[in-house]
Amino acid sequence: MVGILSILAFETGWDLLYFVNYGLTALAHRGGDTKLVCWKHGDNIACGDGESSAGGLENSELVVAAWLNEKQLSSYTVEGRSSITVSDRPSKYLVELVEAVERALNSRKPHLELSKQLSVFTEEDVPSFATLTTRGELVVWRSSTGLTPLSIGGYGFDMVVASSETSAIEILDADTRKHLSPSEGAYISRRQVRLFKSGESLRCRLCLFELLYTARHDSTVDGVSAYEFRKHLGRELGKYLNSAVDVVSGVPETALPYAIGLSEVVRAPYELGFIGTAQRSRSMLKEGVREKLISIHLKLNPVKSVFRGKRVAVVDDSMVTGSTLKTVAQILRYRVGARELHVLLASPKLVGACPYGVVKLDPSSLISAQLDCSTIEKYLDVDSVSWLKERDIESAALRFGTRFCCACFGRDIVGGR
Amino acid sequence: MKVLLVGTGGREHALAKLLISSRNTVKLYVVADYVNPGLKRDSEATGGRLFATNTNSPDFVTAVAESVSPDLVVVGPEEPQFHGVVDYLKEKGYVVFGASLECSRIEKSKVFARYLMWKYGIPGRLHFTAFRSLSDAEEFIKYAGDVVVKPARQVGGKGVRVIRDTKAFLSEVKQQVKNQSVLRTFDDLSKHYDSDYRVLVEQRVEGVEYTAQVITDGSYVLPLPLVQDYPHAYELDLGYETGGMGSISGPGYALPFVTQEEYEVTVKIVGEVLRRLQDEVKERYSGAFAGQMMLTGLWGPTAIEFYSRFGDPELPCLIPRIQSDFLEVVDRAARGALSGAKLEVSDSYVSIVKAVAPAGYPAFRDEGSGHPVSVDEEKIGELGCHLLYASVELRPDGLMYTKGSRAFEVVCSAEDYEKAYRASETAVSYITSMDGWPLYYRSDIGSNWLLDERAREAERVRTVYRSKQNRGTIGEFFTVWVPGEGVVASPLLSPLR
Repeated sequence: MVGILSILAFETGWDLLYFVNYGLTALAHRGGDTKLVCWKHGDNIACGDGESSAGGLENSELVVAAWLNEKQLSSYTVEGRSSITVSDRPSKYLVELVEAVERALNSRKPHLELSKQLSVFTEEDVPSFATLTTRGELVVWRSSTGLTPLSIGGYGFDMVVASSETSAIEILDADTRKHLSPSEGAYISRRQVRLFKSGESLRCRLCLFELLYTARHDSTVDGVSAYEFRKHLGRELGKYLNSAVDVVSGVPETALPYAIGLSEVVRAPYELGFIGTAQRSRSMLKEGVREKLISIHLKLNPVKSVFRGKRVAVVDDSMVTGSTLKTVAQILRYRVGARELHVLLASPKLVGACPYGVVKLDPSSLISAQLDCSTIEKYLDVDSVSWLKERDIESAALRFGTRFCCACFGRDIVGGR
Repeated sequence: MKVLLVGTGGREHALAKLLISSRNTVKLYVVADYVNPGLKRDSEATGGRLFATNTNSPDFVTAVAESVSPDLVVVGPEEPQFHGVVDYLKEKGYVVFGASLECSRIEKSKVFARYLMWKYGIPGRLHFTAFRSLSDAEEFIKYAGDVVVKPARQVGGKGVRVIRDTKAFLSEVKQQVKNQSVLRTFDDLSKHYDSDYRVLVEQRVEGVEYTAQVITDGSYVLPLPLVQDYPHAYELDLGYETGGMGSISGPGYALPFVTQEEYEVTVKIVGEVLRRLQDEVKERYSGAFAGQMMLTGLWGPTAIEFYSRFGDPELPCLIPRIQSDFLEVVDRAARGALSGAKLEVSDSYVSIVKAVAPAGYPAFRDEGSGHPVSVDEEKIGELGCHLLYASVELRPDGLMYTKGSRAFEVVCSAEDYEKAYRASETAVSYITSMDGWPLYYRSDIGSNWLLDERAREAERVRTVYRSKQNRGTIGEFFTVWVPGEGVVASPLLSPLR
């Protein structure tokens, strides 16, 4: 997953460099290892990494920025004749998308034309994107599949901010105004701001990982508070815990709301069991095995008194390779001396790759695709492992009024409208 | 009865429609800055006519009055008031509805309006300070924090900069912007020699805005239903501040997100300001008066600024709702005989106004000017909606051309917002550009989505002000305690010394 941020200032005098840097900081948790910042520079477009040396950005009224993966940089961005487009995942359709946008922008009613031109992609698997033009226009569009989110916010009378995640809008002192729905976009310039809709796919759904893992706890995704959603799934986990426990904990920071939810229903205290060292880091999004382990080990210094001699429930959002939970189990058993360890996962078993390129998952290293439950318990060295079931996700989708892509969990669409 | 209406825009067209719907036979004359096709047609239909001349000139306007001998003159906008048109007409013996030069200071000078509220301790007042000297203003703005920078004089609603500054990591760039707006305001106001204070800096508040309009003869105050207008140019409350891209009103006198109690406090504030204004300037106020209000966490109903006239698009929103003989009410106000007058308003009906503007408004008006437009007024009428002509001019070739501001307003009403919304969305589609130049309007105004947003926001600030009320700190801004130095005065000093 990556994060896109676009800002247009209506009034003059705003140095957008500050805004871009803090905005990207608020999106850094989404993965992506490389910053790309493009801005209108006179009648041209300039791009860079957004560092302070960025020439001309301080005088630009319009900027599109993103966290991308360096290795695939070229598959996220396309330069048109008078524009640059940044998408939120690689796509073979990107060149076609950009051509369609450029055709539409030559019209006098760009929002109507955009709606028409982009409607041919309604049933295709295309990414969300932001386009910046040399004429000072910004187009943001959320893909018809709706897999990844896109929201629009405003800062007073002065700025519009569009971002993959609401946390970036709020960090910039702006207010979130709308979560764009699938196939919905906005044409934004100093002369006009128009929303448009380019069709309606019956198959639109949000990637479950967005609410499960990717978004910050303080973000709202399609109107759903990530924090409340996670707490709810934590409570649901209660019915799968068959043994009494003394304490509930989770791996910081992602697992905390789940653990708080579970603690509520099993009447065991939630404890802050692990203290991280250095900055927050997203181990699941790391690619190399060594980087991943370093990231895990840095998160997991235990508060020993919390666990010693206790029966412990350890909660996490999902289990990919199991390496985090294996590490947790080893620490709790051997270094701390916990009596029992029960692992609870707030999602169903991960069984396949992401066919849409949103989340990077290698089926050959997915523990629940490769091993049966009792082997997993032995490998992790724990007393029990439980997962949420698909029907739990289904009822959560219903409760929060959304619909999920669960392709990597074995089913394409979960939840209805 | 012969009525002379002064003014050119959508508000005056709304006034014209309200005045000529009287049960009395009305002959309507209009003095306007340009030939507004709606005002021309509607005045001619009554046997009157439109005179195109400078409405800010007391001499020109009075010359028209002398040729017409009206029984009543109604002055719509504020600028003719600021130029003494009302006073001059009164001197010549005409009966005039509209604030005098002295009374209109409540709108013209934002410093005066704020000062008045502090002097008399009127609730809903904001901390502020004002500057005559550029260097003082520049020094102050360095440490001003979360504030609004305004021109001290009303200049068509332009030049107000709201700079939310609540994140220290972005403060440096915001300070630069505040400083630029101070410089620009000083520069802009150097054209107006009538203003001593140049810049007003006041504490920034947030919440739900609405307008409370009243009609008064100086002693009796007749409140109109509240109206919410939508200042942002674009949908989702994005973009530039405009004169208002639309408005809503009803049901009843409050709004769906303003309680009856908040409405009553609002009317009290507006009435108190009117009374103290007259004490202060020692003149009788007769005409329309309005408070641009905001429901804030600080006070509940809070005064943002005042208008010595009806608002636009606020008054248009009341056209379908006012059932009384509006001319009679206005006439009685002008004659000082409003006591006992009643204004019948349809309680169950709500209304929505949508303005249609050429692309380019408000920041690039030149680009938005001079485009031919057409409108199917019959179709709009079939929907039960009214069409108001605003910033459009009828040229000798018989076509209507945009003048760069909001060109038309449609006014639709129904028993609920959903119905009125559907009608308004259809109505705007009958306004078209003849040369392909894009026109825009806000499709979110009147929608359930936006109503819900406002209700949520109102609930948020309501929680805050009620909690302040319970703790007895309503209206108290902040006590500034500097560690190591002790308690110091608020950096925004009010009133001025």
